[in-house]
Amino acid sequence: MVQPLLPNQPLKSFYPWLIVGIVAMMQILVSTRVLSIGVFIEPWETQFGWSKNDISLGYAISLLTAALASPFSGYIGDRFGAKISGFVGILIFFVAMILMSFITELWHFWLIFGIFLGIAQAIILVPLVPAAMTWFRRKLDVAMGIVFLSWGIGPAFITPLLVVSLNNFGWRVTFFLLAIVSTLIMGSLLILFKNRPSDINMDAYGTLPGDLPIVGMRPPAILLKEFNHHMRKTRAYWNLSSIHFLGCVGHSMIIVWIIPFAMDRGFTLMEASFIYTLMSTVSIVTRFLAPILCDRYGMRGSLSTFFILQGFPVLVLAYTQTSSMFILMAIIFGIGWGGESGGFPIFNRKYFGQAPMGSPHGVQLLGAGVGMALGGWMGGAIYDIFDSYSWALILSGVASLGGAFSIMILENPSKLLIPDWIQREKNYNELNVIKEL
Amino acid sequence: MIKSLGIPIQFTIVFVLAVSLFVYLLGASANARIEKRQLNSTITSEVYAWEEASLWICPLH
Repeated sequence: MVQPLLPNQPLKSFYPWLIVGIVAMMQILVSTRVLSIGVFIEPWETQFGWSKNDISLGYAISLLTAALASPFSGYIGDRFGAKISGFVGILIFFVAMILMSFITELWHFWLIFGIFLGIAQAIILVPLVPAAMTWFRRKLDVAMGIVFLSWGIGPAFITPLLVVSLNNFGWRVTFFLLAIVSTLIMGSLLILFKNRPSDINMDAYGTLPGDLPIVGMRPPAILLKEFNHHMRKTRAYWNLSSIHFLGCVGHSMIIVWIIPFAMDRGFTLMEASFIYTLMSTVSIVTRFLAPILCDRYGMRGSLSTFFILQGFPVLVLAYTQTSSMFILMAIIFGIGWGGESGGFPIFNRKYFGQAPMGSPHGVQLLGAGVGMALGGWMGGAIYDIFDSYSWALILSGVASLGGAFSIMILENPSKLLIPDWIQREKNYNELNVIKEL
Repeated sequence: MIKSLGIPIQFTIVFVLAVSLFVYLLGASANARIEKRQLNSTITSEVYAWEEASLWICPLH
């Protein structure tokens, strides 16, 4: 049911897109410290004598911690709202980032960067995407495209600023400044953030006459438990997590090792960096397009195509000897890599409707995070064993193609796999009103 | 719907394969590192704790 037009209705109709902007900005600010860790490697090596392996272990601990904390963070977000969990996460983030500017030992780095900032990342970010999804009945594809785009453009814009700060003030002051500025911006954005459209008495974007409205400020705990149980009983709940895992194993092995691999094939460091930049740039476009293509042209077909585009060129890369073929395959890989993650919110919506998505989203991010950490590590381990990256590339390709096959045998997304949340919540609220009377 | 212990078989296969591969690569990587150090050194080289643990965990190494 569409709300009657109020004087502030134009402002309210803009609110769902403001929510998307807030989520995108939060993702940029929180993920920058992980995605831009490369700029801190040289200063830490010089000052503390830490090896690249020592630093990359901290990176892996952070990814794993965030992954393991994701299901719990998703539940917290559903239960108490993304706004409250966001403020708790920002507090941990702020304290940890300030502490980062004082570290002197390697274990300080592993503990603060790896564990505390990993937990903060999960608590802030995991509940935000499901909350943003609640704001959209229609055009969810475009909204999610903007959210996923932010993962790609964040490092591109913030990394150069970090380098300027590093050159002028050193890494300790850079972390201190990053803590203050990020916390101030995120805190201000969260004040504007609303968990559900009903928080400001409006309907989700794209609600048509006849659609049941989303009511209540927070999902009832008893219904949340019931629906999480419904979701856990479906195959899709588990398989989407293992598919995200396979996709992330497939691309993390490449994004971590493509530069040394390209140099192994005779490219200079500058040329190898250019290939990586090219791949990343191409992936930005498909990050935006993937949810839209999944929604409009079929989810299973679109997402499995992205997985194939991610896996097939890697298999070719393992054997190609020519530079032009290497660059072409890297570009095709970029298309697949960007599109790999964009389809998951659309799958969640089609399979689970308007039910709170913290739990499935958290489990999918668990699979993704473990896959990222494992894939990145596997490339190095395989090189240790064979003195070559060929088997790593083959494994990466097989993981992506395995993911594509798994997507094709997922349930038909044309109908909900669980009961309709909005109808159930409406019945629950009506029953409670009758009881109170 | 095929399930094992309440978990879909598709998920179980990915999980078991990933854990097996992880354990195998961990053992093989530790083995390769130890062998390389021994080849490059005339005296008995040190074996790190994580390498010993990896070789112990992997039944094939």
